[in-house]
Amino acid sequence: MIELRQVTYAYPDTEAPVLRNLSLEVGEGEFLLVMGTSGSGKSTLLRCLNGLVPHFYGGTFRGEVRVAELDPLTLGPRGMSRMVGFVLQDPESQFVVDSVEDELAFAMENHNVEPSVMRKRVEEVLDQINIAHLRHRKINTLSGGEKQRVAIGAVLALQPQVLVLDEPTSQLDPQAAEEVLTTLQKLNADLGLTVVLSEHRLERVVQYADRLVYLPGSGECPIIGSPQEVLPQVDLQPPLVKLAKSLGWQPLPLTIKEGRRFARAVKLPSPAAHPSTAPADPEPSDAGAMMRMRNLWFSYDGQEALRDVDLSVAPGEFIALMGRNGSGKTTLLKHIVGLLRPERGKVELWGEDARGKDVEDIARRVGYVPQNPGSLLFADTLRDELDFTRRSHGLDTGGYDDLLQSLHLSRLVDSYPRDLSSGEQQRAAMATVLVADPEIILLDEPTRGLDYHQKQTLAEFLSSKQEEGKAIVMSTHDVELVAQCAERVVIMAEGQIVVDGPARQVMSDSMVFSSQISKLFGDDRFATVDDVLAAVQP
Amino acid sequence: MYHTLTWMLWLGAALLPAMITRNPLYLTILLLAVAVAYKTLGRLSPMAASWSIFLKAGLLLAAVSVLFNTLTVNYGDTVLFTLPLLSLRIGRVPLLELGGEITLEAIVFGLTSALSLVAILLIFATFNVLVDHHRVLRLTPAFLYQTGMIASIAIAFVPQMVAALQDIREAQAIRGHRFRGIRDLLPLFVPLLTTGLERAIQLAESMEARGFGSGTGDQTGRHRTLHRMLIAAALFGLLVAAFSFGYYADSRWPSAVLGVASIGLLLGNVFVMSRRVKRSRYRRELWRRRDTLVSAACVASLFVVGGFWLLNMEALVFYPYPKVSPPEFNPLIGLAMLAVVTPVLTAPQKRRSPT
Repeated sequence: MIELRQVTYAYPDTEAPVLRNLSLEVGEGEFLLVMGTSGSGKSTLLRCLNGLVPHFYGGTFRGEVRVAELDPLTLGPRGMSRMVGFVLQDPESQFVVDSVEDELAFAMENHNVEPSVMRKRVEEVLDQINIAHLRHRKINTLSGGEKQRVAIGAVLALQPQVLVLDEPTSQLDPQAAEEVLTTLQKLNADLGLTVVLSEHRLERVVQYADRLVYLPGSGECPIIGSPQEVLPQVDLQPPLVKLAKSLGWQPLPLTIKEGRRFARAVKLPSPAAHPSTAPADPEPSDAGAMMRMRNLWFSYDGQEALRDVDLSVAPGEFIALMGRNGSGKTTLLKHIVGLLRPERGKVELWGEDARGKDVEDIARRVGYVPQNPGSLLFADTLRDELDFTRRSHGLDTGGYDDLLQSLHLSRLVDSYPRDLSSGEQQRAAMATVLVADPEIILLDEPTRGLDYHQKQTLAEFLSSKQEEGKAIVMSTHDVELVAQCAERVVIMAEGQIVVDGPARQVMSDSMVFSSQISKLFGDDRFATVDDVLAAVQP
Repeated sequence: MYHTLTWMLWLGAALLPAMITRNPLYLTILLLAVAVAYKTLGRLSPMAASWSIFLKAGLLLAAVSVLFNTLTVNYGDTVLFTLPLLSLRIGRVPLLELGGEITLEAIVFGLTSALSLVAILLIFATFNVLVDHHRVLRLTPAFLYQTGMIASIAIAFVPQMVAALQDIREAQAIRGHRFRGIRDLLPLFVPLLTTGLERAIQLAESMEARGFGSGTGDQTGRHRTLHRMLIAAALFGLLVAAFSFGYYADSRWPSAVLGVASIGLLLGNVFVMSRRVKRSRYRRELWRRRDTLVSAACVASLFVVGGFWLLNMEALVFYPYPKVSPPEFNPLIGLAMLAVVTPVLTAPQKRRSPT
């Protein structure tokens, strides 16, 4: 179905090629997962399949591509659109019209499909991806998962043979991601559609994939094969695989179900012999709290976003804020830093009412890193960005070498921030806020688009900050990161706090907010690979 | 509920009188009819909330314009009372005179203008609440579709960019950014520009990957130039016709013929150019019996109002100066105003479905 031969490609104005002599064959009806560190050329590879590279981006291209016997190099993305459906990462910015049904018809209208055929296909697509109930809805009223499914439907209407998706779930919460992935699996199984997908969070997708392509980056030779073959060779591994590799489980389990068979055979010390590491009940002591929220209420245009929220944060605490998209996590963070003001109730910072204080003053001691790094970065170099923050807060410029070191950004200090890879931008944005050395650190979804290495870097960095006595509140969907570093988990739903407790306890109780390892063992002592290894190897 | 074409006719039937007459009787009937349509049909739509704010602003504007006209225009025979004259001037140049003789004529003129303004606003509000703009776009000639599409995307971009600017402003405030001068715009402007570009590129990729613009490649340059010149000629002909129609009131036939010929040329061009575009339209709308009824009423109304406008302009004119007199009332025109209420009359009754 897909054949790449000796493909070498470099973006315009760059010397080093992103892809070098890449050869790849994908059979009909295959589910192929493209993995690799961020900036390794995953998106570029996907864009070769429908001609967006090089038609849309320019640059120098060598080699041959065939998709269903067509040549994307001569046909370009428009010519390939009947054969290759292409879905992007961001559910917000790929819609053309405002109602679901019209969006589904858009591609067919472009291709001059007969109205009667169009009619039939729209109905089919609505059923194939189970969105018939959404047909009359406006797109901006849909949830992220629904939007992404509509985006898939919008390309399916042309009945392509290949579906290419560039990190389709990276902006979604776990439930919505599940929705999208099961849809893809169904399309792959029922229709025999060839699916090519890139993704960072392997634990979500690796079970669906027939084969993996691992791109090591900087144009090196890729590793291609079944998940069992590829995963042991690469260092990007979901926790289950990492554990299986350390304990020598064969054949390599890819799902929790497969893993349980091995897990039952693992001899673990009984709970009594091994006293729980976490304190039984770290009742959040109100005394000495840095931040305290009391009976907080807030609504956007009459829609309640926070309802009677109480929360306190003590020095050295690491709190993970979890919950569906739209459950009020970001609203809560914005209240702490004063970007939003409570309608009722109050926020106290270091014992003082935050009312009447400027955001700029609060921001001296409370750092908030927003979701989208793009809204922060504007200067010519990273150094300028950092100096700007220092100056704005009335601090001396410079003196941030340690910070850059611990975020692995030292070598990038003089580069243009917008040119960095998404993972680097995320860390750069974090640096621009944390350079003022705030005492409370608020992070809004810091792991979007990060690969396992970058997440590891982030986890280590945050742990070191926590040891310095900073309080960290992080809103995230990433259960694995939470398992690794958070001590306290707060779960929100519909603007209320529904759970507030020690991380391990909450995660082993929950069905959704639990890491792979806690699903595997169902024991609150084991949430990460290291926990298990420490228990097994005395 | 109704076909988009029906709504287009409705818009025409409502707008034409609202724009050409100042007769308060006709305008009042029209306004009431549109208000009934807005109230009964518009409530079903979630868009109604945003338009109601707009309408309130319109009412305020109308009130201000009445007051302004009353206070600044001292022309007219019926003086009600006299206020002290307050005159604003810059140096010697008189800028504005407020007060003085308050005349009934000025009040009446202000009121009729306000009536027409509110009617026009309400007509657009009703139309926008009830009609999906993408459906309207589908009715445009095929060769204009691309341009229309791009314009509609550009309009949709504005609220997104406002939201992005809000995020950026917040993000920079956290870094201690304060706005003190032009230089401080940079931290807001650069992220806004780059975010906008990134979004635009993604959208373009997504559209390209779905074949947008594939059906327009087979026009040669010479054809295109010919079409452009013909369209320009047609528009010029139309302009001349419109001008001479008003100017030579005695013999209007030559102008009318020129006008019709120009419109014919224009439509012919549109037809030929549209046939070159290979693009189908997804239309699921049904033409129901009630569409026929409403359209017939609207067309009839357009005929009556248009006929009076072309042949017997005096019937529509109402001018209070120099001395106000009661407006004339022609029952036929009054009836024509009621066409805009027909969508309410023929709308489907809400029945409880058997469960």
